[in-house]
Amino acid sequence: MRSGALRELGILIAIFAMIWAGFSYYNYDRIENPFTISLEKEAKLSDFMNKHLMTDFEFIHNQSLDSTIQIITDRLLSNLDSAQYEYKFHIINESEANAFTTLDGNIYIFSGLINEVTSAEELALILAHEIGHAEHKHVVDKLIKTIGIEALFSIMTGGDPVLISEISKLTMSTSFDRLNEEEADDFALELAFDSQINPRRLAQFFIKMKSKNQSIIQEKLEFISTHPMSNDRIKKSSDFELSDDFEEVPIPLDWEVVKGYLN
Amino acid sequence: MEYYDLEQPDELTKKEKEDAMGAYLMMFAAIGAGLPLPIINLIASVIYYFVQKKNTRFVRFHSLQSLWSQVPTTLINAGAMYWTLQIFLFDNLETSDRYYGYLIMLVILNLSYFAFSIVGAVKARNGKMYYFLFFGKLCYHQVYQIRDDEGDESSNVNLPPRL
Repeated sequence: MRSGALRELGILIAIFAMIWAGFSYYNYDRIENPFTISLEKEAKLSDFMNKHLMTDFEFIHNQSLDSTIQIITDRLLSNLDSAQYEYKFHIINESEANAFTTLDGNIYIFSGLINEVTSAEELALILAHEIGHAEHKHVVDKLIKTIGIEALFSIMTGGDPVLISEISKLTMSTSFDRLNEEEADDFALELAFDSQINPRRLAQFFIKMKSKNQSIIQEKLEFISTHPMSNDRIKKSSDFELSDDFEEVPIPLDWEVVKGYLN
Repeated sequence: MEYYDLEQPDELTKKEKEDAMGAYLMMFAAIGAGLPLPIINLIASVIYYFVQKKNTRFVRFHSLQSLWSQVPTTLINAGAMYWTLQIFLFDNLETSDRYYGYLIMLVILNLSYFAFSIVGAVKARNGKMYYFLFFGKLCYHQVYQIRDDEGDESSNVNLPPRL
């Protein structure tokens, strides 16, 4: 009797343990997004996109500006453990205040944004936000969701210029969903905190953009339309909890001088 | 090991059958009374078992089976409650795939417990035995086994004089 009962107890425990384990290891994300693309393929695709963007936009190659961006991003990236990509930052000569992320860690900054921000720390927070999109693979997810994995692969193999132009536009112009934006915000706030930059500057920037958005025609403030701002997002940044001993270490850059590099 | 003979349906009175059925219905009564805390069912079952302790083995068997089978369900429900409070009230933990897996397992466990209890209640009402996996054997053993100490002198009040 005893062995029979114990065997049944074993069966019961095994059944429920298996149900638990089964549903725990069941990859919910993979069902939502059944394909992922490898880093090599992403790099290849981003090469195509980068070339395409170069023909469409005027890139600014200015040593002083590049080193400015590098000072800012070095501060951020040195505080980022195990980054997924080797980040490459490009400056585009456009009056819109915008920045966007494409694939393989390529982040594009419009010169309008450099003019719009008032300090290196503010730009650092926006770049941290873009790095957040890349680290969370939002761009890849969005592309797969919008055009499908087959189309992505066909682009990679054939390099069809029309499609590349389409997906480049897609990564630039459309916004991520609210959840992705919040994820990127959270990432940016944490990264800024770790990099000893006051995370509340993000709220400062948002509020500034929002108030301008109401008075100025929107076309110059692309960052708003591609980064929809809810009051929740502003609040999250402005309420970010800082420890008592937190002290911002300023990035040693005179922003007026940096703006001068643009001209 | 020797066991007492099982009562057959025609040997049981209507009262006994209903008492046995009542053991499984305790939890519904507890839920109906607006007491959704899982521990309440368990307490109700324990009380029910002790009330029926002097009843026939058939009733005791069903009460005990209902009681024992509630213990793991209650513990697992309490675990879920603790885990959920830690996540949403105290912010000590975060939701994870393991948490969702646990919740799904919990729902399946409660549904199967519910289904087996209903079957048990119906069978008991008809004067039949019904053995849950593991708990059936455990309770049969506990209730029907003939123990050496039962019916011997110690339970008798009147003893012959010591010679």
